[in-house]
Amino acid sequence: MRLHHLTLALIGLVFAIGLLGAHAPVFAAPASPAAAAPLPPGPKAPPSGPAMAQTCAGCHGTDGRLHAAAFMPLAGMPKAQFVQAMRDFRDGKRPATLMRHVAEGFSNEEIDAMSVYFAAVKPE
Amino acid sequence: MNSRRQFLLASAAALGTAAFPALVRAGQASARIVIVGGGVGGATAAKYLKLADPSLQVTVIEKNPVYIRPYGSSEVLNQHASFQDLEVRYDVLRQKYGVAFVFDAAKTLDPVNKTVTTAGGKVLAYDRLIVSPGIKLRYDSLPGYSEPLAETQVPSGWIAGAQTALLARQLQSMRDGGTFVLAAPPNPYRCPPGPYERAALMTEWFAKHNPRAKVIIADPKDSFVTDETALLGWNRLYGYQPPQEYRAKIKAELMPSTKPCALEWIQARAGGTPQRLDVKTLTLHTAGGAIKADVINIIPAMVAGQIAFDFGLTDASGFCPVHRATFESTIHKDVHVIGDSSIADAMPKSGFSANTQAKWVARVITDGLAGRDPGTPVWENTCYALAGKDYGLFVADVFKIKEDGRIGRVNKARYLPLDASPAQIRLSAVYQQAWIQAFTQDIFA
Repeated sequence: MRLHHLTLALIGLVFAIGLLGAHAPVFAAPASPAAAAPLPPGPKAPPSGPAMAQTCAGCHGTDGRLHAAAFMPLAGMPKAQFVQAMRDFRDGKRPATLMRHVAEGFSNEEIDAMSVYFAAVKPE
Repeated sequence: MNSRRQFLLASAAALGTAAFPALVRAGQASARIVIVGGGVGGATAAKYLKLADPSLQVTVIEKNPVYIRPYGSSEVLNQHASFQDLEVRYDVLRQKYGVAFVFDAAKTLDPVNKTVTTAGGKVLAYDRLIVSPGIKLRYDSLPGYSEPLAETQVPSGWIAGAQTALLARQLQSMRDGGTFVLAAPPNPYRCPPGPYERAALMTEWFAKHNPRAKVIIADPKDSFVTDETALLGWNRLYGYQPPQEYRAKIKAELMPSTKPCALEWIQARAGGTPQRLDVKTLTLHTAGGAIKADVINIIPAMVAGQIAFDFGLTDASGFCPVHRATFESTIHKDVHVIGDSSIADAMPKSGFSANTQAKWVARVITDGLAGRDPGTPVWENTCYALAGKDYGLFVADVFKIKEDGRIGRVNKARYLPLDASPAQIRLSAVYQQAWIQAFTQDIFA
């Protein structure tokens, strides 16, 4: 009996989904997810140096090691040079394409942590 | 990397097998990570898992033995790249990093026994599963359109492949003075600046090869990512006249109109919303009227890749809900969903998003297996796009989990500054090409 109800419910659900599909406005975005329980707030601590550094790799190479591309390889860059470059980008003192925008996402403390990571990588 | 492995081995020895009851079995010392999908998300995850811990058994299930990269694939249309340029091989991941590949379609997930079964009947057991299936195009979202039509007459070309090549042939052989209509997709979709870049690149190509041709974007939206910077570029390159509401925003001096512009963007408010395709007459019917075309490119609505549905990982939105801090599915434990299929709030559905999500999940998994806290997550997105082949644009974002528990941007401006110098604009185009190369290396080499 319970199984029977479940089957009916499933058929109903499938039918309802079918109807929704048929009446969905043309080219409409999918419905937004239903409001659920409140989400846990993000952690307050800064991310680790390695976790931040790996977000640079899409342009600057895995571990900052880069072959044959126009970007600055970051592997082995002295800490002071990295920190100065990032702060200058962030403060608009150094002309850039998108590095000002990226640098704006990081605090002094976070820039320091990234600099420690890259300074420790041996360039190839 | 080496010290990390030693640490893992040392901790395993110190703690004994009891600390890893699910992971350590007789004769099997390392965890099995199965990855479904060998695109940007899946391939990045495979590489970064092996970099963090070479002893992990990492297996990628992927249908196609050669990857056709979607990023930069519109450059096949304007002959800036060849189709072969899009092909990326998995040889380095296999040989240098020791990633195993199963070239087959993943079919079913058993989240209780933790196995994935392929179409070919192979059963893969996992300790952690990463699902990165990209997007599925909802061809049926536009009446009159279908997948068979997309493959033969009206290509979408939004998942790079045979449809991209078909669209290239159609555009390059379009009749003299013909009209190319691009139906832009509704939000959310993969590669937010992409449809507009495609239209602009073809406008530039036609100016040289088919100077009386027209390009029309029929849009179900009133704005798009990079919009004011793209519209300014179109003005400078093609004499495009931006809609009134953008003129105040752009601030920079606009070139006056001298002749009708070859490029037209019909916003939703101007009747651009695509409503029906009539393939017999090659006409796109929009809210504002019928547009007769010579070549039509439909970029339809999108949802999570089919595998996400087959695995029961999607919700009513058609995408996959995840715990923000780990990208673990809120539906199935030990299953992480990354890339276009995941619900990642402010993060765009871009290759760069998938790439930084993959690296973060690789860290969550390796730190989790070693009993370490992975710490605070951070992600980035940068997308370069072109208004013309020497006119670069971009969007750049840094993301963290905000107070409300959602992923949000933490930097200020996103786009190329409107007062950017010609040198910055040219350099952005140089960087767009360099990015394709560097990004491909970070994922596959």
